[in-house]
Amino acid sequence: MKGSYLGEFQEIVLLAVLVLDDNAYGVAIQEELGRRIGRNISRGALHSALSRLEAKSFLESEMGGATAERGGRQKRFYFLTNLGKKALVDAEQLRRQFYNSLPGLSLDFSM
Amino acid sequence: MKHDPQNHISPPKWPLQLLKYLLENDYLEEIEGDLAESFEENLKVCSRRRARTLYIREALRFLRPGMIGMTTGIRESNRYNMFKHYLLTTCRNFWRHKSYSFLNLIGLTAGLIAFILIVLYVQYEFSFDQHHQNKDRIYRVIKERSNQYYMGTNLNALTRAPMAPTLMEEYPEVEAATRLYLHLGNGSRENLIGVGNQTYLEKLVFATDPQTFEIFSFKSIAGNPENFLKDKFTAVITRSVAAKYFGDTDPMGKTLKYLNKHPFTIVGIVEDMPENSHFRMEIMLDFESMAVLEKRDISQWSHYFVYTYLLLHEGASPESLTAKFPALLDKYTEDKLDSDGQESRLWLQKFSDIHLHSKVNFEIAINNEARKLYIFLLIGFLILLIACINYVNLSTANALRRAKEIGIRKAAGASRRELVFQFLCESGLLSAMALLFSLAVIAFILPYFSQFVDRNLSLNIRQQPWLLAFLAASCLLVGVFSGLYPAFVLSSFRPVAALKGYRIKGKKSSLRNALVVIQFTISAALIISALVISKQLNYIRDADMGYAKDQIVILKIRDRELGKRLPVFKDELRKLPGILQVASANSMPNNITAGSSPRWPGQQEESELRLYTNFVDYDYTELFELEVVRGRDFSREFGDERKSMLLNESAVKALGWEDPIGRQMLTWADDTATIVGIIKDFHQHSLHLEIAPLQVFFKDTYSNIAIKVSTKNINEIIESVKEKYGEFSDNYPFEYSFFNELFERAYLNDIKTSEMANWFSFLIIIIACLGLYGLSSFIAELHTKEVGIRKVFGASIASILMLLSRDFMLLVLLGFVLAVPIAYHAMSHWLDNFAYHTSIGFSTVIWALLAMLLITIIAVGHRIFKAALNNPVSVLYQE
Repeated sequence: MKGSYLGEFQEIVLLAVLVLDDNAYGVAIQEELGRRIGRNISRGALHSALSRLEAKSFLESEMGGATAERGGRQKRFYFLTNLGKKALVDAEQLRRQFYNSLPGLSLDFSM
Repeated sequence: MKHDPQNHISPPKWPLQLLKYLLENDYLEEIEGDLAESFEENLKVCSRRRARTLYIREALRFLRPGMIGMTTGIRESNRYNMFKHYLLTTCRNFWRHKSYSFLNLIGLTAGLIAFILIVLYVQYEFSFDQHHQNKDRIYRVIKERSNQYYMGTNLNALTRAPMAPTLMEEYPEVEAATRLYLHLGNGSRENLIGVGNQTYLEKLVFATDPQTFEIFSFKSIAGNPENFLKDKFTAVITRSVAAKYFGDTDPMGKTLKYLNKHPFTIVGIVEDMPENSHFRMEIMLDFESMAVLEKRDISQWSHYFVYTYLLLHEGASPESLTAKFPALLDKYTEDKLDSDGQESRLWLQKFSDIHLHSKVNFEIAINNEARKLYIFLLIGFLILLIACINYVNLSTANALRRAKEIGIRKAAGASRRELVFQFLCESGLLSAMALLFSLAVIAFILPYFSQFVDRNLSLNIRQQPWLLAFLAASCLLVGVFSGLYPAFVLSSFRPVAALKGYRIKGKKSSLRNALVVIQFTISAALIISALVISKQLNYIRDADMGYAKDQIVILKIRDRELGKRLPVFKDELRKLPGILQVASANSMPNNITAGSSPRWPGQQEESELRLYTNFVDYDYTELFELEVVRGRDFSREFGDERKSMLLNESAVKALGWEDPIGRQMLTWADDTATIVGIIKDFHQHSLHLEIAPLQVFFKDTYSNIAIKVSTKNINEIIESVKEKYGEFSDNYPFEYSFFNELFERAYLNDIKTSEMANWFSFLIIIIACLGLYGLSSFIAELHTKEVGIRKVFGASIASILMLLSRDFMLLVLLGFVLAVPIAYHAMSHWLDNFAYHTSIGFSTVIWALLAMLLITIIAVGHRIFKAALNNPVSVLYQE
């Protein structure tokens, strides 16, 4: 189980990559997370999460899109692999199972 | 975004360099780009500085353990594995050559112990008075009097009472000024303080102005600092005094009685002043009320009895204020109110300079000297240096044994850089180990060392974060310093030669020899110094001071009531058994401090001379066996002697009087007194100072009592004196001391220097000998076969001993020869501190030489004897 375990932060990072679609690179992900969570995520923390996800093959990456404001450096764009998407679905299902089995408590997920 | 090269602001470069070094290349470009982009974004919304800070912070946050481990896979990296391997070989080598390793370890540990202790002490001394927030703006007024050298300097810390308020009022540079007054009742600092029914003797009682709390940083615990000492008869005390007097009850508003008589109301409690302060106050009384009690007219410019501290305004220049002082003196002291008409100048002394950079009379507490501390530091470094040299010598001497290892490593492709790194790892590890051991030892001996230097030192890293950096730095320093040269030597072997087992040429031994010479130069210089210092101490102990020192007990009488009945008390003492003589005086002959200019009837102009002055009774000269060379001394035969006086020979010479007997002079009370006798010069101060002119007046109510006792049953005699004292005074405790102990106390500093020198030279010689021992065993081993062959051919043991030890002896001798001029120079300088001193002397040098040779023989002898006595068969039959 350990190899495919998805930490909470990692799960959010995966979601952010999904949301950003084909513009998911370092700074963009960082900003997206910052905006949604409401506090600043350090680039270092994000980076280790990304590389771990990559090591688990939940993500793939590709270089490209150098611009002047990056000092001519390329960006690394991240994409979810099928394995990554499955991991997200599994995680979501796992949670839902738990919520559903809570006795006497009905949660309205539609908000 | 428009790119404008003119206006381009770039982020700092070093964080990226760091990342480049630590992270794996794959991710670098991306990270670099991301960081640059964020930086540009940030520039739009915040200041350049802020953007840079954010950039650095972001970059550094990449350095997470998981991060580095993840991206570089450090555990798989070559560097990590090699490091692990070096660690292993280091341990193996350590155990294989146990004796060498332990010699190194012990040497480095001892060196580090000495070094760390010295740094702790020196750092503590430099931390004095650093805790005051305004320390850079605080100055003290001191006075210089031309021609008036007293105790070796003409600077004086005491100033006039109206100085502080006048400066505050009239000089815009001065933000605040305060006076400190330390009442020296009977020349002692202890004052009786009464609280309720209890009395306490307190040393740190000061009278001071409210501005004290503005100038110095006090932490107030109770009361409002702005009102401290603003009202008459108020007092502020420290936390520990409050706890001592009042325990758990609230001291605020309670009273304490100065001299157990005058009540002061406590209006404030402050935190204790740190121990590294050049003056510490525990009880602070309102200055003006104290002046009233002491019947001091504080509007008078004529008396010097307070310390004046100033707080200058931000940006005010102390020089320009100093330049205004002559005008101030002219204005207020025009009619020569300057107590004895001496021309004086005022200076400002920087507050933070007081403890280490000043030599001023009437200082509040004993100061230290920066120069002395630098010498300590130097010695600390030298000890460490000697320990490092041991490592260098032993590991280069030992290089042969590792030739094969190095050859194989090189054959397998190790670069020179890798090898250097390996050997630096070895020395680094050893020095880290030595550091741990030395810390363990220091934890154990620090209390003793603290006691020795009379300071409260601690090795608490949480309180002194700088220690961590310092310890790490010294570990690194030792590691690199001792490892660098051996690393280069060892890594320079040519692999083919090393593997084939060719003798690797010993040409490098010239450097080793030079290092041994350096070691023994340092050791010899220290041994000679230690010998000279203890010779001077013996000289002091044996010197004829001109007065008797033994069998004399000194009583200190603080009780002013008893002071008035002193003649009666003395008569009572004389009746006790075992008491031979009783005398009283203002000062004992070992330290006569009072002084004034000589005055006589019909004097034309003020004399520039200064005469030390003593007031004694009938029996003083006889009790201390002071020799009268002309005329007579005070005697009961002549009845009231208040109109008589004595001079010493120096005074007669200084005054230039052909026939002084019968001439008249003026006493301090402006009476005339006739000179009746001349006493022989005696050392009225320590031997640091020249004998100076002295005048002696008669007065039998000064309350320092000297009692000459018989040698038998001293304890019983003192007990009976105590009993008698109890009949006369019940307020003050009985205090006595032995005169010869008081005498030695003047040389406390010198005695400590001597002990220190002994310890240092002991330590240094031990470390140097460890090295010599190691080298000699190496040499003995190297020559085992040679010795065997020589013995077979009939060489005598003596000639072999000679052969093996000759080189060492030569090196040690050379070191010694180099050390003599260095030590001679340094010690002449030290001896110049004493007006009367011994000579360094040829014999001292010879003794030092013999000691060195003996030590060398002991260090070298063991191994060399063993080699010389070996049976040649046992070493030769292998081939």
